[in-house]
Amino acid sequence: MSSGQNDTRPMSPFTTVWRWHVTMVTSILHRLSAVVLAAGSVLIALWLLALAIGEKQYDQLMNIISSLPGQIILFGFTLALFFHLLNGVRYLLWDSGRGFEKSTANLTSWLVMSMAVILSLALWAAGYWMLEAFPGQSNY
Amino acid sequence: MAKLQTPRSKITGLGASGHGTHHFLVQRVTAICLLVLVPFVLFQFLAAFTSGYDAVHIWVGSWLGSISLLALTTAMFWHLRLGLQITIEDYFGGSFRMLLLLLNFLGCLALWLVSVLSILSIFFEG
Repeated sequence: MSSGQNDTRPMSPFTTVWRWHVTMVTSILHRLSAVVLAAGSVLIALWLLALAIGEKQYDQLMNIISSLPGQIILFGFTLALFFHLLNGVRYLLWDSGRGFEKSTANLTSWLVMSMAVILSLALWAAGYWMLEAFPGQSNY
Repeated sequence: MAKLQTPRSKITGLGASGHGTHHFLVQRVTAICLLVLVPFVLFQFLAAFTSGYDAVHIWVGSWLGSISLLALTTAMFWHLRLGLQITIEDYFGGSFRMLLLLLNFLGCLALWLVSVLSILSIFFEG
């Protein structure tokens, strides 16, 4: 990592030289999902603001979110949320000194990634089921 | 002398910024809070959102909804500010880093204030 403006030393080209391994993938995904969730947090603040302002603004925002591009982006946020949440548990376990063995770290990497996909799909299935079962007054 | 010091006093105020392990600890404490709050709020949201504006408004304005959302947004934007700070410090240098750190701090603070004000206005309205 270059530390100053006059630092011309080459940066460590680890992503081009190293063989990709799964713990590296989850490490990169943790930071990537964090940046994605930063964008998602703006939506949460906007959603609360729209809810406070009034029904018209809330319905407008919900119509944008429930459009197809909106739903795809929201599913991306869901995926990032569950991944970051589950992978965060790994960080807390590491802080307690557990889970550093190579086989354990590899296993929990795969576990966290697959569980993130499963939980995201489950949450969305539950959401769609709720829409079917309790349609309410709205059309989304 | 070292033997008379508590483990806590040995680490308090260390580091270039003089903040010791405060950043690290707060990042962990907010993480544990979010581990509980995120599923809790998701569950409540799922139960309310299909019934439209009125049901969501009642949920956010309720004691349970307000408190869990206030706790969630507070832990979330605090955790976000700390995490983005580390990310910015890792990839940027010089005066641009300072600008990004300032924007990160003010942006997270603004989003938190907007969220808190919205929740409180719904709570006191109903």
